[in-house]
Amino acid sequence: MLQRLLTLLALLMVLLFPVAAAHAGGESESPAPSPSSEPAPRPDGPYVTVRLVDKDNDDAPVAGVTLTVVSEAGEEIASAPTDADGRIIVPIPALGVYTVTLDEATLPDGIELSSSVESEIEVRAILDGANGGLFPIGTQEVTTVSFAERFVTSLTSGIKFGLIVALAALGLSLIFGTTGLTNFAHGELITFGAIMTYVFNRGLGLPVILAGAAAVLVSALFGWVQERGLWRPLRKRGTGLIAMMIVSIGFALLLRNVYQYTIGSSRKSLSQYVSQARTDYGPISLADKELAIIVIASVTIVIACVLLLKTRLGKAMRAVSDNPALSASSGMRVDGVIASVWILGTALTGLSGVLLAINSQVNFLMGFKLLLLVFAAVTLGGLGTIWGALFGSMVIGIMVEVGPLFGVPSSIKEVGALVVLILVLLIRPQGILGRRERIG
Amino acid sequence: MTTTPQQRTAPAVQAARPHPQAITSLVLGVAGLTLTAGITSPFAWWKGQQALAAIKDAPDQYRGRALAQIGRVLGILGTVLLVVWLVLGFATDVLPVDVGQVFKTALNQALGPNAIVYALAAIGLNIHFGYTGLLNFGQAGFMAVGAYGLAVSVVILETPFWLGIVAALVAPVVLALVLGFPTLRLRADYLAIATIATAEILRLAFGSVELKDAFGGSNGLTGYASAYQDLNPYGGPLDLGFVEFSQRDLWSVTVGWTLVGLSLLLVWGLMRSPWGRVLRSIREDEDAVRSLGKNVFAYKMQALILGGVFGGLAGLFLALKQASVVPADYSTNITFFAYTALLIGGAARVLGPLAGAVIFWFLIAGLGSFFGQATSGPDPLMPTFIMDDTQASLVRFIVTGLGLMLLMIFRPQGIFGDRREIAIDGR
Repeated sequence: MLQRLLTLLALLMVLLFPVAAAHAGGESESPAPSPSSEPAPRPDGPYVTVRLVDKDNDDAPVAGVTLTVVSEAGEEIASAPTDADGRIIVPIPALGVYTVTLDEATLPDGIELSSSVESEIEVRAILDGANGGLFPIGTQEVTTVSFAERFVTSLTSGIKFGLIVALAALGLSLIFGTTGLTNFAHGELITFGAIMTYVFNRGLGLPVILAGAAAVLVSALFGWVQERGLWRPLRKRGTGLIAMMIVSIGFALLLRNVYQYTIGSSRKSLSQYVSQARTDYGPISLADKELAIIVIASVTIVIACVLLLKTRLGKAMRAVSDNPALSASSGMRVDGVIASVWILGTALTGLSGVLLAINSQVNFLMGFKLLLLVFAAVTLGGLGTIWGALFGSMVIGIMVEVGPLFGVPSSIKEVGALVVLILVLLIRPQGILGRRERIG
Repeated sequence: MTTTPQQRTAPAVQAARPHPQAITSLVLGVAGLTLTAGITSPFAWWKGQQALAAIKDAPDQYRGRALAQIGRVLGILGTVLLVVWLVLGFATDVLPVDVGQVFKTALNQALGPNAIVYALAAIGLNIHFGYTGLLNFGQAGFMAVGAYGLAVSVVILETPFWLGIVAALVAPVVLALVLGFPTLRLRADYLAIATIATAEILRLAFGSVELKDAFGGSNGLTGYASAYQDLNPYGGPLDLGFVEFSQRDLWSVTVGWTLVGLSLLLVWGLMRSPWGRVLRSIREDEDAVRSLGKNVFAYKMQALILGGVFGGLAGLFLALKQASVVPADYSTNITFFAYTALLIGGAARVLGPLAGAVIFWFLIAGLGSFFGQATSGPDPLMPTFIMDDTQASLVRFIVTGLGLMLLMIFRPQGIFGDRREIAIDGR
């Protein structure tokens, strides 16, 4: 950490000198190495300027790549493509630490990041003028790939993403089915799994696999505590479903800010499996961790489905979800069943967070960003049905990842899924596998 | 609607249960000593007292004496602390926190342009949620199309300023029509998901690199507000001692509160009319209204449009007062904060949104300023291992989340509302 900071400071110093010189010389031309590049206008107040260079190519500037500046509060300040000098200049509202991320999809054709570098840097804005940062990336040539190959690649990552969404969607759908609660805090349950993995891994020093398993257990416990401490008392009070939905919004807001309070707003990596080389399996190339994610998610989903279909508890869950009054009068402990649903649901959701953390990084907003996609998946398949949730998630996952191949702008690839959500509501509101009566 | 779980789990005979105010007292007492720096403590004391009295009157009906006692004791403790630090803060320089400054910041925000934006947005939500029972979670989307309606027409299409204003008011109508047709026939939670998704689609699309030419990307659009600023009649800033506004803010405050006043008048008039009564009956029992031959769908659509226009007005005002439109301003959080403001004031009350927005901003800005000061300086009041200045800015949102939950659980009618008016259920 300290070393990173020092490097960053050193870079900053190097970078500040030319900028400061340009300022001292009044409105003189900034020293632009490439004569064709227009000097961008310098904003009045504090601003962040970042230069994107390719360290595998003699620190040549990389142009036309979209960089996004995000404030410490997780708010996106601006995103802009780099100019011919590889530079962006973004005015910032206040001094502080800003994170600059790179949109890999906008890298020039035929070039990809060599996996050893992260696609973001932090810039510390301490001056009321230029706050510079150097963004070194490593690149490697990609041999131009055919459409079919790109399709297979995006399909694979779509399936991976869909499986992660499916775990969360299954959790949401189970809880909705039995309690009728549209839980807007569900995204924060995903984040909970990821943050717990991070805490067990970095804080307590457990290996990632153990940390993930522990995180799933803690998630399940969190679900049980939530049910006993919050949702069951609310049901007993006779709080309406819409009131509970608003309570869940408040809960989401609370959790999200508590997460940010505790772990901060930057993205964190786990200690293992951060970057792995890809292995070729026929037409598909996958890193070991991606393969593991796909296997773990599929096996878990199969086990969960078998559990729901074959065991007594699963039957009870489905019965309660189908007709709570009748199940209560046939002697089921409805509260007990609901508690088990919460435990199972949050464990599955926590697992999706764990897998997401292993797949990329941990951030306090990760679950919130996924929430609408999970909603879309569940609505697409039909609210409250298990098969619907699985089917919807796979469709959403694949659509998000494959969409850019068919012209969906890659910076807003999630939008496609949300548009489908609205269209489904228009044409078949009960979802593709849902039953008519559920929509009321 | 099939049977909801809470109907079946309701016990037949009312068993002894903890007195609700005992729990309230405990929660407020704990909050007073931790998150809210004493502000809730007097209420904890008061509620604890009430609960103890109620339990004494009917000991076989209520339990929870111990809870109420603890709540009261915590409340007394917190109140003493509150008085001590208020006295210290006002009278001496012992504390590193300037309490006068905290109150001034809070009051400035409560009467300033930000509160106006939220008041307008909440007036719209009041029509949707309070009067008609529509769960619009996409007010941010209506605000965004209002703001972009103005900015895009003036900056990109180069139309005159007044035409931009017209566009800003027409855009929410279009959005309401597009959104209403598929979702108004569905159950409330579908409308909620569809509206929140639409608001996100709009925000992402407005900020996307690919549509930068039309919407300015994530830097947004500027340079449309000069006509608005040229109308500013004020010559200089205003400083009344307890509030001060810059010349620009003074103009915005004048325009904004006038808009809020006119909107409230309109809502007041409409809700007393037969039209308003139909909206309320839709909220209470849709089928009954349908059986009287009213076109429920049309009424809902009109309510969605009207509330959406108020949302657009909020976005328009936000765009004018800060002279720039940035997509990040229209995130989902703004919708939820507007809901919080509405619920604080009281849904289905004409003045609810106004009171709620003012109180919401008073608390948010006061907490922000207090914790900001408590964590800054060479020798901060708050040890840095507990809270640094970045974390200090989050406390108010943690409190907002907690406040929204507690409000919805214990007092869904807000401060001024009527509980019978807001008997919301899972329809």
